[in-house]
Amino acid sequence: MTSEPRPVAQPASDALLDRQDELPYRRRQQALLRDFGTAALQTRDFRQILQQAAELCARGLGCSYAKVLEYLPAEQRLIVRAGTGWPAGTVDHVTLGADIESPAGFAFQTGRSVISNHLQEETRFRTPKLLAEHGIKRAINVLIRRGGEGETPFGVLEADSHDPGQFDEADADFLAGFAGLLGIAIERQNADAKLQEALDHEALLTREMSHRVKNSLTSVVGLLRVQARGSESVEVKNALENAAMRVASIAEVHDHLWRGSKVGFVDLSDFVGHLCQNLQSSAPEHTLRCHSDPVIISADKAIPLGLLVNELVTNAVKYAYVDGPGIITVDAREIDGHLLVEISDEGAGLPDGFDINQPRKSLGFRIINGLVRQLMGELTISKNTPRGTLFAIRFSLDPP
Amino acid sequence: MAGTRKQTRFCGLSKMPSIGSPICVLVVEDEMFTRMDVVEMLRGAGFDILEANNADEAIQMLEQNSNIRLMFTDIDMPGSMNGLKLAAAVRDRWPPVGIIVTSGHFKIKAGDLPAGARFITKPYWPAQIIGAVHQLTDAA
Repeated sequence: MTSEPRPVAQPASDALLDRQDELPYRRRQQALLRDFGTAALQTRDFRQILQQAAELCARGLGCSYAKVLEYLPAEQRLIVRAGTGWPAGTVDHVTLGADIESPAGFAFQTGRSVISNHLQEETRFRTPKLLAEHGIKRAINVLIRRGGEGETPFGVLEADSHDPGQFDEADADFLAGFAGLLGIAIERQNADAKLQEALDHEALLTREMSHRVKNSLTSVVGLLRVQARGSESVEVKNALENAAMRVASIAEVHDHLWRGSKVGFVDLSDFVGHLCQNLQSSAPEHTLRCHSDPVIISADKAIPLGLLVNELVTNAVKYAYVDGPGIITVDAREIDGHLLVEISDEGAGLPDGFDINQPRKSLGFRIINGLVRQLMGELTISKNTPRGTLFAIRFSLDPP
Repeated sequence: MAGTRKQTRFCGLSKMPSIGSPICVLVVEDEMFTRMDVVEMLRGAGFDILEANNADEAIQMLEQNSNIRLMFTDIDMPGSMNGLKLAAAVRDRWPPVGIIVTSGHFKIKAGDLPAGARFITKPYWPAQIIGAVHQLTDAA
């Protein structure tokens, strides 16, 4: 424990400090206030701010004890939230009455700074047990206000000394400076908590929205399938079934959006896995093999990519294997900030002279070209080894 | 025919010129297009179908039709019971009825469903549903 360096022994009647001692003492107090202000700005750890306040104000007043008391409205008591000099087990446990019979309670109730230089002889207040146990002779108590108007104050900042001597008005002002800075830090913490609450609520709403979008799209898929079944024309039936598959692949992305941990993003491996399961169920005669690196991608990329995989796998199911079942592979890998997605089969291969960029009637290839452009990517079509076709899509991932 | 849209309250009334009567399946789903889709899918696969909008309707139908062999139910439904509670109630009152539960929302843990019940995530595909219904009704 530091002894109290403050050279004060004069009687209260001429309590003015020796001018030569007064100046360095007040300068040190100013420097400590400045240090505390800087530290309070730099950390958002509320506990640490309270603890620093207690330690620095004790140093500034040359005393061994200080504490931050928080008012508990339900119990109408003040609890020690941070402190210096007190034994372990004091913080968060010891409480004192918040009525005007104690110095801290008086400061809390009236908002006035309370200087008590002779606690043992004090007649205005009863001395709280904690102070009596530690032989505290003098104390200053100042109110810690919250920022904003009309709110119950946070509590009280108290400095205590077991040495004889005098606290004066300037010491009380110094302590009030700390209390003021604490009030700002408390207000900032409240604002932070409210902001976090708003952000959590926003995330919740965004998820809820994705969930609803997914439900609505699933409903549309049902409708399209019902319409497909109701149609007499094979062409119309196929068109409606294809539409159902396309909408289902968009619904799949929304399903992963509301489940995912990062709002607006999906884990590609999860999403590709489910998409492949769905595609496999609709083409049970073939074998679909899927692999994806665990890449987190935005919904803006995942939706066109899901549609592309749907188109290319459906295309392979329809055209690659003319006689009997075959294997279709989907492979997605991250390479240097790019995603490379390959869809390949071991089937008949594309007709000679096939050019995907030729204006074609096929809606499937128009969709494929459009989606690749939407991803700002490139599509290459080549012969797969040993046979069949390999579609490779490469596009840049968003910077994380 | 697969496109029949007549909602019946009893199984076995549609005169099917097949050998024996078709297996009766109760479909419980509040979302209309989704229900139409799964009902047509199962009718197309040769099952006799009863439709319910919610758990309370489903219980009524089970009380009135002793020949229901399987219930296919959604979990997320308005009303006094969701699909999980309905599944538990059905296992309790009609132990032989097979149960398939589906959801696009809930993640099902072991113990959420009665023993022997199946879970299928939404969106589901025809082959999945028909396969599961066959497995549960063939075994019975």
